[in-house]
Amino acid sequence: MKKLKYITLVAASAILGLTSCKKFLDINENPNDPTSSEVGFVIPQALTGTAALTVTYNTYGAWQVGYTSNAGGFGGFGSQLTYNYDATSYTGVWSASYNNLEDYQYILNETDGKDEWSYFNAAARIMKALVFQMLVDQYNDVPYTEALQGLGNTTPAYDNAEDIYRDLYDQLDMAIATIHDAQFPRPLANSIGTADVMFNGDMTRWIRLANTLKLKLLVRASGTDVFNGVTPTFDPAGFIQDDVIINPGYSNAAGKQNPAWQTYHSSFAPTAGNSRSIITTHYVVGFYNANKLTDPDRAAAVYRGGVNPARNQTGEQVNNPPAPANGPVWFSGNGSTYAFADNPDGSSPDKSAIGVLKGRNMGQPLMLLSEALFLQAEARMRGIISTGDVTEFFTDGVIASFRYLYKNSLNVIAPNPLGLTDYEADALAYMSVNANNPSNPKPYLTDITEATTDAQRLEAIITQKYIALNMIHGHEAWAEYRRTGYPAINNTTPLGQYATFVSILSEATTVDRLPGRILYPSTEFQLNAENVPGGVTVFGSYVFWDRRN
Amino acid sequence: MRKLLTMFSLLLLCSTLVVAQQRQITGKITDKAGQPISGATIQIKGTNSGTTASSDGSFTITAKTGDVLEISAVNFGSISTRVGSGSALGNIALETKENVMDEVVVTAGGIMRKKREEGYNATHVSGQQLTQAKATNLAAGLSAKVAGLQVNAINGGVNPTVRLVLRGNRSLLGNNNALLVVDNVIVPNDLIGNINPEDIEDINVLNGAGASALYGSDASNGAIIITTKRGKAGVNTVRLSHTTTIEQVSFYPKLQNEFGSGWQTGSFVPYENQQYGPRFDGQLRQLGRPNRETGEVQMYPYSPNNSRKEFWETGIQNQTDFSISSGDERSTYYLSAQYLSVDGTTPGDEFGRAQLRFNGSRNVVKGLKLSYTANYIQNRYDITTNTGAIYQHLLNTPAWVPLTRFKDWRNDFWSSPEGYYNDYYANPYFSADNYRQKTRNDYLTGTVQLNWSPKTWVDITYRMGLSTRNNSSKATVGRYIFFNQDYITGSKANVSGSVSDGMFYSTQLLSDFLITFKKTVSDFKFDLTLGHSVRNNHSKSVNANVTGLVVPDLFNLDNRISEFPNASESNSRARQVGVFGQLKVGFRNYLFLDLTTRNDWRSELDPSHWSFNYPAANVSFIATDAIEALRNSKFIDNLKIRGGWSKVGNVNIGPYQLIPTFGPAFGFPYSSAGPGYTIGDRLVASEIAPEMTTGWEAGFDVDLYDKRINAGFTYYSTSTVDQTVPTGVSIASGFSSYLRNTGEVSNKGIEALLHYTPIRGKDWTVTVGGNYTFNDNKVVSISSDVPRLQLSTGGAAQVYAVPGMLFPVLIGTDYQRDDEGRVIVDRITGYPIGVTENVVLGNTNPRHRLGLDLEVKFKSFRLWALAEYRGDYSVYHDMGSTMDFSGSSIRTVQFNRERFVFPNSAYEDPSRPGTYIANTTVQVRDGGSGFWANGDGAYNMNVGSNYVVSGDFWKIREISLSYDLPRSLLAKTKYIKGATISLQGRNLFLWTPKSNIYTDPEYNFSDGNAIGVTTLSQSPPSRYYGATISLTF
Repeated sequence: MKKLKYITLVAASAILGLTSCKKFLDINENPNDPTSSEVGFVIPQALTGTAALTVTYNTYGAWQVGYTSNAGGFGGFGSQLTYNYDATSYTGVWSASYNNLEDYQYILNETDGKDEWSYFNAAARIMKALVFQMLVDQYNDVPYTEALQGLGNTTPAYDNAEDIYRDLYDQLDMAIATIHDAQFPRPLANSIGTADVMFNGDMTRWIRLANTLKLKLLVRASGTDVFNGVTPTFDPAGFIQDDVIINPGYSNAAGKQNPAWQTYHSSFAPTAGNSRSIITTHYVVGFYNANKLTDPDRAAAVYRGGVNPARNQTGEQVNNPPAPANGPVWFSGNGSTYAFADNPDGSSPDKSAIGVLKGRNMGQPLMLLSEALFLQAEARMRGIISTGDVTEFFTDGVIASFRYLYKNSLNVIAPNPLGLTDYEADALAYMSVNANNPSNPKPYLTDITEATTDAQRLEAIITQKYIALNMIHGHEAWAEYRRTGYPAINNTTPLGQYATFVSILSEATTVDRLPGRILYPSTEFQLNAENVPGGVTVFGSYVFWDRRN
Repeated sequence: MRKLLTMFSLLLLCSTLVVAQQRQITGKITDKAGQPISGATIQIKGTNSGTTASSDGSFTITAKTGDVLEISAVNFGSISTRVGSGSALGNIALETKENVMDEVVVTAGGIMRKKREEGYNATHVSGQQLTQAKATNLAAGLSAKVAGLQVNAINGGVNPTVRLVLRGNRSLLGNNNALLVVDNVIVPNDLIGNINPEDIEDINVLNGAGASALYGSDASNGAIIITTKRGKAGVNTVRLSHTTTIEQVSFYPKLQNEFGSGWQTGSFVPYENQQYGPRFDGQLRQLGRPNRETGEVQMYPYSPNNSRKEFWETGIQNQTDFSISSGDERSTYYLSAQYLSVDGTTPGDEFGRAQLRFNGSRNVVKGLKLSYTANYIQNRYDITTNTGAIYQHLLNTPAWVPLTRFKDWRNDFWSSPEGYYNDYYANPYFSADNYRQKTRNDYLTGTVQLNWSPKTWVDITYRMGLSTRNNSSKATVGRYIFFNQDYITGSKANVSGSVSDGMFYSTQLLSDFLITFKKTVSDFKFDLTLGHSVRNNHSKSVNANVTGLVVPDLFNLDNRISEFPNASESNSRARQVGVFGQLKVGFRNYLFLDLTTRNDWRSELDPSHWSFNYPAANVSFIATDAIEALRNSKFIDNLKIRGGWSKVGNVNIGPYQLIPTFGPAFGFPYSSAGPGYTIGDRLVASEIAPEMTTGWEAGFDVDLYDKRINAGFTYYSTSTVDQTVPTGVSIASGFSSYLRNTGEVSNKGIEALLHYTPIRGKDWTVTVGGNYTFNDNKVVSISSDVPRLQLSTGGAAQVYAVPGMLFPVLIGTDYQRDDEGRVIVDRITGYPIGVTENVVLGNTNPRHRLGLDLEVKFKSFRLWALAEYRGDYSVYHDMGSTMDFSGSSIRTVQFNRERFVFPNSAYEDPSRPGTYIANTTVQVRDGGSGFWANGDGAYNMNVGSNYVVSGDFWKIREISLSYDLPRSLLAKTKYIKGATISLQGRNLFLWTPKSNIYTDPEYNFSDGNAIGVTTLSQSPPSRYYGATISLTF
């Protein structure tokens, strides 16, 4: 009996000891970072991530299509000038995309099948489709169905690019249906504020974006048979009616600036420019300075120096001018120096800048209205859509470009030091001046009614898109160039500085001396070697819709 | 009775008052050869009064006729002598003690053991050995003195960071630093650079995990057990010493002095950083651009000067030490203070350290002893944060530029950012001044220990240890806006200014409880120790920073142009509970078996995996005691044969790492959009376990030939599995890495030491010897999906772990080569053809290390010298490409900047592609900047193999010469018992192979495991030399 008592006592104290030991040790709860998050906090971050992604893509695309060139005083451009990319070139395009996609996937995982979260689910699905199209347009086949599963699949297989395109179209339809079918959806907001830093919870605008993305898939794949058998249908909400702009509240603070401003203008503590190593090219300036077209108004809005900005022929490393001392070449604001730029934050809109770099607080465009209108013009021309008028879409596209560039950092048209406010009149004047210029060999470039063939119409549409996207979405211009061959270049050697945007150091063996594509990043060869497609080369491999195929 | 005792001690204290009955007795204690034994203890039997012999062996004690003096000394037998009527006892010779194996040392867990019982390799370093060259950093004082211990001073600077690794690296990515134990309490490793070396009584280095297994999860890296000085009963000592040390740059990159400013071979550009211009001709030339306001230009002779080296100043260190120790039969105390001030070689860099220590003990009642220590340390840094940039700016300075004249950048136009001659790189004096960091560290460590022996067969010990660190630091960048923006050029730009202010504290609290039972059964002696240990770590850091200052030079977080400062906070808490047992069985005092086991519970791990068991066993056998033939040998004094096996773990994962986190990015939170979170990029396996090291060792220690020769030898082999490694995963999975247990690392090696005393006489003693370490550190495997693990990122060669290869290796770019290893060049241009795939360029941990020491004693003079060799490894010097780009390196003039045939090259046979013809005729198109500094670096700069050179070196680590002033001289002062003057130098000479034109191969860009890369962020290596005067009262 006594023995039993002892045993009980020992056992009891042992148990007590163990439980208290567990309590003593159970302190591993993270006091520093959250280990879960409501989806309402993930979506604003993800959208802002996509906004930053467009800058990563633009930086890459702008080099390919001659928006940017090497400035004087800098060297070490390497493959940026030769196009001879290796598996470490532009790897950020890949990693930042999947990083961003994982956030959308998290929202989808958390909200799939939950009526309450329908709007979050639909928004994430639309954005996932948007980013995947950006990826496919650079890499062709990419991991898609097996991607974004974390430990579920750390070596995802690559899907055929055409299949992805086809599925993205369906995903966009699914997202639109999810919005319509929602019974008791929460608005796109979180417990603290709005979660939708793009459309402020306006679901009609989300549907319009989905429609426009569907149109973009159809137009870009129009030369292929991906959508054979698909009758294009669009939700009656129509296409986007304004520039799609993401702005979580970019401001004059470290890490909170608009990402394009941060990348191309200056850090928030205004000192020197962040992009002093790049200026623009003669080729693109030719669309403003009467070499190809005359466009003094948009030139004044886009460039420091108007029709005469610091520019170079890509690859020229001897007689290339440096970037302007007092601002990047794409900044037309009033500031005389980086340090003391006048109201770069737009606090006095009458003094604020317009153009490409409008201010630290400007929203980041995800898709320009002009791009959507040019898409509709081409789609109408090709019969993908059956309503509307090509000429009207085209004209509206040019006007929308003027309008976007005339807006200040608060996304409004307001008095500005350049005196550029009447975008419609200026756009119409631009179109007629050039169309009526007897020395302009291609009057149809500004007046599509002058075009006599679909090829000319396409050239007009894509060339105007190229001008509208200047230093905003270089990757879209690059995709359209690969697809259509416009804007036209002339590679007669020696390469003329106004005739082509091809680098004089190009090592490309392609017909147009431009790269075919960028390569899969080296990390895929190390970590996903069984799946990453072999035999892909910079100058011999193209995305499936590339005209050079 | 108590009253009597008090009176008795009073009498002792006031002994001068009672000389009536007592008188001064003098004598001299020597060994059999007549060599004085300093520090021998003389005690009056039955009392606690006593004294120690001075350095010449002489002593004075107050005693009366009939008292028995007990005289003893470490390593010597004791002797008793009765005080007769005379006052002078003359020479008393002590027998060398039969067995040094009976010295008692402190082992793991604070358990005292005789050396004979240690079944593993352990090295004892005395305080004197540590401090004889006056290294201010304890770790630096251990360099080359312990077989198996690799000490790397990884940078220069005012308080160099040191890395201590025993028996190679066990962990690929985790901690490999030896465990640091001070007065039986585990302390954080950063204390190694802050403990006062003068406070150290001795150090017991436990090389292997087997010796330290009792420490459980912390033990796999071996342990350095430090015992600080304590007062001795009946000995009152006051010590005061001062050391002044001069620091000078000892090894400088080899720079060319033939060609000046210009980026194109042979053409002069006055504002150019590159040095591919015309050959120096001594003519006056314009430097830099003209002053825009006045049109003035500066002219200097176009001939080389030495100012790029003179930029580095002569540093001065002053160290003052003070200590008192005393004790009586019940209490002892030791009190010390140190003040160290360091003026570094980088202009403006300073470091100061002050510390106080109080150690004491008291016998509370019979059988109950209380001991305690308290140590307060504060250090202050005021250093530049821009060392790398400064060094880079220096190398981008053509040799004719009188750099040292551009110090006054605030007032002198030509030194100001506007007027500075160089269009591309800043004035290094401006960089040093404008980019600063002030850091304060306050350390407080303390221990309390109670020993209670209620019975003769049981001992109970309880101890508590505390160590805290409080840190605050402020990094500042002054605002500098060009008064005329037109001066802004290529890379010269406005500086918006910034302040970063941070604070953190870390606290470690330990508690150990041990109970030991002793029992002797006929020939067997049993010691059983059971223990319990708890460790609690807590830390917190807060940092705030702003970029963009309003008022220049006002460095306050409120002085900002932004709305809010950036702020961050981090907290960490970790706990460990351990229970352990040790059973020691001794047989006839010559065979010992030690069995230990410990179970740990760690809070950082998942509850299902947080308990681990660590067993160890070792045996020691004293052959000279066991075997009759050996016992009587005249030649062999002692021979111990030992061996052991152990398994211990190392938890290389911090708190809170098991669950992926969400965090804000892209500027979130915004005031309008509110918060935003993104998913982290790392996946973690929840079943993460410690990295397990299993190992065995065997060896012997031997004393020969009347202890004139002592030697030791150990072979060890360890294998560490379950490496905690973030393996990469395809980014398309949405994540970029996956942390899990995978991979194995092995270490095999030998540790040997040998010392020989050829001369041991009355005046002369000479001892020479050394230690040798061979370590073969291999990556056995990692994971099938991880062909190699990258440990560092950056330049053209980086550090990797590669299965099947030594750990770690350098992998980097190399030239394309043909089958015969010749570099393939273009048949037309003569340039090597692009760089190819990365290749393995060498291992980075020295496989062979040798420390050689010499001690010569002549009467009161003592000379000590220590040299170290390390060999069979390579280092990538990242600065090499900067030196070639700038044209400052000696490499770039090896062909006189003329066209040359690329050495050992070949070109493709145009008629038979794939075969190569030795190139003896095709010269490179441009032997100047076109080759060496080519824009995309393909010919030279981006080829990592150009800058991977042998890391082998010989160093004279320490030389010291000390002289004890004769007692006769001191007698006149009455108070001074001893005085020593010494001269010492450290790192005096460094010899490297010719190919190393860069820096000290011991340096490294980080204190982590990515050993083998030096960068410009390590200021050039220094030599130190100085003098000390030390007085004992």
